[in-house]
Amino acid sequence: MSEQVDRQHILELLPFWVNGTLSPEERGMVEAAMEQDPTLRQEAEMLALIRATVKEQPEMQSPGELGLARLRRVIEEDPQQVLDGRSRARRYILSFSSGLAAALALLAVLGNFRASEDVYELASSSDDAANIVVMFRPDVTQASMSSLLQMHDLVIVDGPSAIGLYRLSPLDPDTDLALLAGVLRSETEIFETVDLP
Amino acid sequence: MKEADLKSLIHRIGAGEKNAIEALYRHMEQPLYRFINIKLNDPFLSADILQDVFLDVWKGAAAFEGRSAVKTWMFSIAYRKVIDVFRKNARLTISDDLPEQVDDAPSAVAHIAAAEDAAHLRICLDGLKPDHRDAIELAFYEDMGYREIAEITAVPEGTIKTRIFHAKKLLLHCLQGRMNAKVAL
Repeated sequence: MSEQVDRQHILELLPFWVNGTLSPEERGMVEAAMEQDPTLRQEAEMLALIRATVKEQPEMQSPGELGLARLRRVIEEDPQQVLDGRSRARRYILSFSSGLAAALALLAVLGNFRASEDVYELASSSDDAANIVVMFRPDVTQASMSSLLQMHDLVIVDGPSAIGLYRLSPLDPDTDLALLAGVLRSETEIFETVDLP
Repeated sequence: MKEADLKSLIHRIGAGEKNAIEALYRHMEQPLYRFINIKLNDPFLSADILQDVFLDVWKGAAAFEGRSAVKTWMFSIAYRKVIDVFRKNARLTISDDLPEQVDDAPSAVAHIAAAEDAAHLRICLDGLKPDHRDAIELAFYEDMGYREIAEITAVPEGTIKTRIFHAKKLLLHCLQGRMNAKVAL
């Protein structure tokens, strides 16, 4: 009975022997047990195979620089009283008076309109008119996205929304937005949609 | 990045240094997002949760006492937020419970070793229920110890060891099933 308990204990420690996180004392205990019992060595080999498979899984496309831009913007807004992202997004719904109709129309066009409680609307800056709302193509790379934004002196001022919309704003306030939107629409490999509020 | 470097970043974030939160973001964004999205399988919601985690770090860094490793602290924030989502949405979890008579003998090891590729194992990993998958991911992708995983998931250390033990058995059971099906074809 005692041997069974000891073996069970070693079996439970084996995954952590494989990932190298045991204390020196635990490691010594596991290694001594493996020398006595070759099936424990096989168990460890199998766990190593599982670990290798888990590690080989393809990387997920994370928000990356876009997420950082979003975080930076929230922190810049009010460093002392930052709101959590979702609360903030809901607040924007209320303050998005000038652009709401256009955005809802856009949502409807995209076929992604959702019940009011679930709507995650884009942020509204103090000057909605100075923004362009875009949706990037799902396969666009971050490098090409960054390059295009830099080329046109554009910054992301909000997004992604729940349906993947971003709000872009030109650095130059005198930019002709209609003209710029037209140029962006021609970048069909980058943008899926380009709309003015 | 070493733990001391991460703690230094947290200290600087606590003092309001924005470039420190950016450095931390660049270092931790990928593993945190992966952890969140594996559980939620919703890239947009996961991006929101990720943002919330970093905002919590921004707001809470000054109060961080360093009793946990920084990585453990951040993963536990992410874990709690994901659990909140599950609670709010009352998401169902699929049980992967199986009878306990799983073959644990060396022949089972031979099955897995004989697998032509890891595809079967990946499919079986995807079939684990969240508690088991979390433990496997944290132990084998993040290479965390059982104490850290227990802290992140707020369960006793023994529970983590048992979860991984059972997850391994379930993976074997799943693999054997897939291999047997292949032989039958």
